[in-house]
Amino acid sequence: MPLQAGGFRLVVFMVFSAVIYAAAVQLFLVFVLLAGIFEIFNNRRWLVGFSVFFSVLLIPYLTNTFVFDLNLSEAYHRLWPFPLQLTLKEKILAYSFFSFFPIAGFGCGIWRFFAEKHKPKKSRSGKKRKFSKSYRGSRTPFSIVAAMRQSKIKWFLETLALFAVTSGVVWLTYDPIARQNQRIDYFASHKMWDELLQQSRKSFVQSYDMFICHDVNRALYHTGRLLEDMFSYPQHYAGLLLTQNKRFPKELLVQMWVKSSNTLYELGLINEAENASYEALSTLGYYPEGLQRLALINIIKGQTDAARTFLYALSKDFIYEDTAKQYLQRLETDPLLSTDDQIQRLRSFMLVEDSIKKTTPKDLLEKNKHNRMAFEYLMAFLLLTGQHNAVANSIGYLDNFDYPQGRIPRHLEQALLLYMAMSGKKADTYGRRINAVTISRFQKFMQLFQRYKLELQNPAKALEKEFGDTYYYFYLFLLDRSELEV
Amino acid sequence: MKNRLFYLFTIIFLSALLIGLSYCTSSNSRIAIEEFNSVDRPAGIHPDYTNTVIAPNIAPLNFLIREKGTKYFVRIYSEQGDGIDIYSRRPSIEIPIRRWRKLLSINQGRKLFFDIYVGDEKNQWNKFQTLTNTIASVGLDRYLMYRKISICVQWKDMGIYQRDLESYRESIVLHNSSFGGGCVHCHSLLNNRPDNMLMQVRSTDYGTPMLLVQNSRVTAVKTQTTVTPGKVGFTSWHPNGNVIAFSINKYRMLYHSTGQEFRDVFDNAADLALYLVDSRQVISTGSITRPDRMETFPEWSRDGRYLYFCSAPQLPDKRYNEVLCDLMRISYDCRTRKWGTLETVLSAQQVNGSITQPRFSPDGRFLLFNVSEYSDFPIHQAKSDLYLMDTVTGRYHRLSISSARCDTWHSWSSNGRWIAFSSKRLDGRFARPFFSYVDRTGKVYKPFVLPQRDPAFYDSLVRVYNMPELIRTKIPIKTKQLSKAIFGYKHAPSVSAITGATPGRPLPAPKAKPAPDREMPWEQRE
Repeated sequence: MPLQAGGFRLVVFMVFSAVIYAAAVQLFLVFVLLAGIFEIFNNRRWLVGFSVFFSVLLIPYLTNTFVFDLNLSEAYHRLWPFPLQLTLKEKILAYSFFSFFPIAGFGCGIWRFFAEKHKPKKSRSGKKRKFSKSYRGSRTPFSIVAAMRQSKIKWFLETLALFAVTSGVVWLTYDPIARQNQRIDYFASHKMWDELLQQSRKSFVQSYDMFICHDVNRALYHTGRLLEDMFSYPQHYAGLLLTQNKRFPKELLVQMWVKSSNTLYELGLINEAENASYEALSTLGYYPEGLQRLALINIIKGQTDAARTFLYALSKDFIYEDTAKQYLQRLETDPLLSTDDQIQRLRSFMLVEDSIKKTTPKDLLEKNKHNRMAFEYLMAFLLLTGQHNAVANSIGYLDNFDYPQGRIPRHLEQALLLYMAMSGKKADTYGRRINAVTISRFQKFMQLFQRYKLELQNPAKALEKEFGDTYYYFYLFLLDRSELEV
Repeated sequence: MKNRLFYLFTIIFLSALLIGLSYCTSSNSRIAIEEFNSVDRPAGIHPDYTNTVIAPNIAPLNFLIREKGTKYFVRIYSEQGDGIDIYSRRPSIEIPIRRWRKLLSINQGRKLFFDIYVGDEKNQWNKFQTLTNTIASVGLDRYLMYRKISICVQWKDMGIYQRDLESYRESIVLHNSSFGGGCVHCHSLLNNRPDNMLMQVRSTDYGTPMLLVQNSRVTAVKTQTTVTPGKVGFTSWHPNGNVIAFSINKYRMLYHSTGQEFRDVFDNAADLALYLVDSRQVISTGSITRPDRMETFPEWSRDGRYLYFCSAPQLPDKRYNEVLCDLMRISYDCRTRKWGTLETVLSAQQVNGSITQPRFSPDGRFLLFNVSEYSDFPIHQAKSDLYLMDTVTGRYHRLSISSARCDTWHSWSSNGRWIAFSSKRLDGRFARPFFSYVDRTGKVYKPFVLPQRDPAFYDSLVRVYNMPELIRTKIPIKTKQLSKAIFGYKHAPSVSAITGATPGRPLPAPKAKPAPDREMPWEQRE
């Protein structure tokens, strides 16, 4: 059967429709509209065109009844590409985007329809009527476009136009900052910590926001470098946990919830992570990672029934289906997943005593002194808020973790030195030694700082290259004290 | 021509295929199982539709059979009429709606039986013990109105919906996307009829109208006066339809660091007032706007002589878990606008918990209310129970149908034989709508969940149902009418406040300022 045969085209269309419906349901409607318009206006196959439109009813029915096992209303409901809760602006954008191609297709079809009506009629002998040079009456837009289409350089012109439009769109819409941010976001969500840190080093200064700061700190923690290298990157205490809602405009809140829920969960602040995950889920509408997180949170809390609800919801996702089913299966035999190390670890971190005060990593450490992430985040917070005296009093807690024997993380060393220099007191290092390189670097910094302070208008700039990655540089030049006093 | 015939053939073929497949999977093909093993226990089914009283007009109770097998057969029958045979290769049992309706309608007041058979690949069948339900002789109101929301504070997707209980049709009454986002809540109706209906809106763009629906006309009422902040909470219609009691609450979210429920609600201030529909006035009295107490959840007695409500001492938020509401009442004469004296109907001490959400049965004999450990907002409690008081004897008891989890937001049917409520009993997290039959003596029977076409519907639904209200007819108002009223709210005329009906004080100034959110993420700096 030739490819052009209507029946064959219809079958091919049906197969593709089913695949598109299964894989990208929200584009199904657009696909059907385009195919139908093409058949009607381009091929003039009215019956095929209307059969294609009819498939809007048929494909969801067949696919959902025999493949996905959903109910019928849900099957048709899924066709609508837009969530109900869009704002007016979002609606306009979304509707424009989705309706562009069908409208363009329809427009072209109508154009062709009228163009053909204006086509010079063929003479009875079959030859086109010849017009004299003086004939000007038939120069309509249709004839101009038709003339261009018949031109020998048609393909060249079309390709050139396409290339120009594509280049223009790319040029106009390319946003290097957004691209960098998206890459960082991608690395964070896939826990590609080394790539994230590498990318953030390349980041544009103007794009370095709280979210990047948050992701970088999380990456530093997971690579064991938070207290060693955090000041090699721009820092602000509000970026550490992102829990200060007032800092974020409404449209960024969802990003804040997504990111903070990850960190809160890893820390063991389970109820706070649960809250952030719910907010993200409700705002995004569809957020499989959030469903998985909420399932795990409920397992940790011993609420297996609620966990199942999230897992069943997750199992409807093509990508997460297997993961969800595996968890559901495990819950059958072990409702608390008591053999799962990750769950057990987080359960041991979870707070026991209820409070409506804002909980902190400090509370977590009181619950479980071996919660290393809580310890490092607490130290990071103390450093970022200029509390090196508190850091100096916390060195003893290093013994609760597997830090190298006798060593102190670099930024804590720097905080200790600054504390001793500023207070004139000696700090207890609990048998650990401050690295000689750290001491000499600090001494050099102090000397230069004293000198530049008198000699230069901007000592920060002079010291940045050599000492910009140190706690004392951050404390003296970058710490935003006005905000801390709020 | 040849091509056209081919297309026609293709369409006919596909349609025939569709019909054929539907027939094959449909559950109506009649088969007979002659040989089977009897299993000495009932089959596990989900949702639990066993040993309960069901309404004769309820949609088919589709269910999942939770027994291992490769084929399933269910026979549903009663004393009269043809039974329904359902054969399925999946454990999901979908009952044909017409035959179900017929079976139930001719067997009202009788038992309804489910025989469940589960077969394996070798064609060996097990027959489980027969499941039995009772078909009530009185039906439910045809529609259920409820709010469906996600668990969150940023209300992105929230709406009030109505569901036809005789089928599975659900439609939106008002979705917050129709007015650019915000909160839509606290709907109430006069005598279960949508002709007189209220719902509240909180919108950043359009304000806080109280949507008043009367005789298919929607008015956005501006309850803001010189003495009222204009944010109406819970409402109750006086039986005369001209007086609406409402609460003004100043809620604040609290977050628990641990425990099952991570959220809690604290009321920083709550008072009551009346909106007089005809004269467009707001009135109140000092007894229900006391600065040392919060007053909430108004409910008119069915004779219209008393306004019942819940009241607790106003406490600072750090004592959130000491909020215990008493059930109070105050008499009110609509004609003379005179208030009586306050009476305590039932104290928190008596029930050892906080009393909220009082709701009278249509005949006024029974008062259904909620008791939780503390709080005037029970939905966020890990556990809260339903209680029933017989107003004739004054006796009250905890309903045995109360679950180990949170049961709340209850309402009565117009005939007083059914209650609807939200319960978290299925998974402890998401509230679902349940119905229970109530007999003339006040005995409440085992509840069943609102049936859905897909019996596994609730298993994966991460949204909650609250405030289920039974209504007699479909809401005649379109979403567009409601949103239009919201858009015009800013130009709505203000109502006048008369506190002199009984000399009162200005309506509620916030009694306690909510603590500002801490700017620092962690509690203190050393």
